[in-house]
Amino acid sequence: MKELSEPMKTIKVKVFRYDPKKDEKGRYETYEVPITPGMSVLDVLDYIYANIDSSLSYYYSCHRGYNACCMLVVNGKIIRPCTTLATEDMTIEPLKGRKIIKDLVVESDLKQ
Amino acid sequence: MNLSEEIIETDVLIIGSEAAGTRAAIEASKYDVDVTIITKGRMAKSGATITAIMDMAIDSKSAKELLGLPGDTRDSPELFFEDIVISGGYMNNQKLVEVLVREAPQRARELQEWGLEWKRLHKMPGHRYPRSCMSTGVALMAVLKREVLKHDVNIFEDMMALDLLTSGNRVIGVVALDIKTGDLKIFKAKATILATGGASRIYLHTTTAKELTGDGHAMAYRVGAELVDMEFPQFMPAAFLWPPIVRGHPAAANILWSLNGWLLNKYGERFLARWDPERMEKTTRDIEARAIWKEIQEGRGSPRGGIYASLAHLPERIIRNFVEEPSNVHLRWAWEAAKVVEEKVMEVAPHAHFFDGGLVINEKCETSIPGLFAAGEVAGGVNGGNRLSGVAITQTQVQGAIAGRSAAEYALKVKDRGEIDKKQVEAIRERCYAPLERKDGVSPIEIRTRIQELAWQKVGLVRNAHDLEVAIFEIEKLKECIPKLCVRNKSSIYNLEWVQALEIENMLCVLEMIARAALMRTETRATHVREDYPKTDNENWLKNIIIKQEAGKMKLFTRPIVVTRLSPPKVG
Repeated sequence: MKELSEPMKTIKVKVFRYDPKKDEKGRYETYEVPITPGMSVLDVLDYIYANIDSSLSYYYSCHRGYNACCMLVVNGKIIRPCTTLATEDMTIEPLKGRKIIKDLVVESDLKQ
Repeated sequence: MNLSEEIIETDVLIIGSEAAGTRAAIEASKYDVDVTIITKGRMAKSGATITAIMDMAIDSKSAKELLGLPGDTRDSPELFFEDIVISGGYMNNQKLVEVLVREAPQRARELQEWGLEWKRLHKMPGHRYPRSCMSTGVALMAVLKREVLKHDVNIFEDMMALDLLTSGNRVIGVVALDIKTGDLKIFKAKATILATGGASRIYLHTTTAKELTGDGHAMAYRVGAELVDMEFPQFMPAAFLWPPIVRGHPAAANILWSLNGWLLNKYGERFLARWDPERMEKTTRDIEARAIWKEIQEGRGSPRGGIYASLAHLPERIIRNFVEEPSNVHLRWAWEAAKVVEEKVMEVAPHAHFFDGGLVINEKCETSIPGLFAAGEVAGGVNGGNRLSGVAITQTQVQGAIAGRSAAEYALKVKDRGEIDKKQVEAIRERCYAPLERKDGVSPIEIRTRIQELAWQKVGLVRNAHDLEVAIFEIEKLKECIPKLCVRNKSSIYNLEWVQALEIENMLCVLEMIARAALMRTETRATHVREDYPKTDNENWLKNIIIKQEAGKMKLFTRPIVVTRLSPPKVG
């Protein structure tokens, strides 16, 4: 993945969305997000939540890579969104193989 | 009684799932009681513990004799006690400190037996001897979670406690929002333990995780519990402010200290020369924090509100070798990530880090309300006005075990579970759903930011009467927004905006406590700095400020400090 070096640039982000109360199956929504160098994938989700669409659900806590609490799939690869730099053309999806609660939030793995 | 909410009955209810909460659950499980944990986040994936780098402080002699670490046998629990009280500015409840230093070695030892590896022993600032047993918060939580899962503990994750239920003068459980479904659940308990951590998230800049919004402090306050030492939040002088990927990461301070970095203002001036020309950046943490704070407040910081921590005077190889040392693995990614923006210069600012104050507890971790116990950062007293490095984790383990034991013993004695007051539940339900059902109003995301900015600007690291009065006025105005909060997104499932709306009242409650206590304490002591009262006033202020709700009002009063062994310095 190419890292962005120009300050402030708008990227398109495709995000998996699913609300079990409304949607029969998952869908994708595309957001335009202005990003600066040094923004993480999680910072991009925070931006969407705070400025574009507060209905986006995702799980995170420490924001600093201490554990794997916020793991997601970006362009088919499992990543830690808080320690991974945002890039152009991202497709963000929940972890596979676990029940989806809403959007990017999956069931907890407490007893696994 | 016709309540639509599901009622879950338990003997011991623990609110909070990290170091203090899990330790309490393990201890309570040794008794013939039913134990339930609820948590706003997920176990070992939320809260303060996992962000700890982490050291657990015990006296150096015990570190050597019990843990096999290279400790110093000249140390003792008594000397450890003294260092804690001196650091705390004599505000500590010395009875709690005695218990802490006495029980800490056993708690560290049992963690080792459960499989936690204490890797090294470090000497941290303020400690006379090396006392910090080093591991990581993630490793600690892996061990505690494994132990909890061996017991028959009911665990409810994604479950936000909203308000405590009372019967007469005692706490009989809590009403919580199931974030995954949007339904309310009633947890009816014989004994309830708060292990909800601190409230550093009320500040714009913090090193802590997103859950720390003071829910435990505010819930306890609303049922009339006493809080103490709220004017003493602790700030880390220099954590990363930029770039966003490392925001709040404390690695910056570590790199700065270890590599003799320079702190520069926007004119390129090493401003510590004006504060401590001898030691410069190697000055004490409190002087460093105040110097950085003043540079930023007086307009000599970066455009983003930080200052610069520079390693530009060093050859690249020195920096590279440092971050590549195996013991610095936790610093490496932050340094690499920050380099995306600029080589060799970090943009840093002070960050809210820990709450020294909290609920008033006694040696049994009982709060001032029957049936309600507290452990860990939400409990005040043990750290006084300024916690020593490593004591946060020690506090979670010592108090977690005590609270678990006390709550279980209390639960075994309770015959009558008490009646749920339907009106209480209805009021909580109405307050919970109002922001979701309201068609129009103010955005919780916006109000949250306004609270954090206000806390930062007016109730931050250096205070004065004028700023604090302005803050109290602004807090009152922000409180008027609570009945107008409107969540734009109406989904009842995993609605983060709704959770944030429900946190706002708690954040404002805690901020008001800090502002009022900071205004009352007309002196400078420990982490509380008043530029209009720059001296420590031992004649008038060797006392704690207690906060309590009475007749709907926040009441503050003072109480003499609790001294057992170490008398404060004589006046005059």
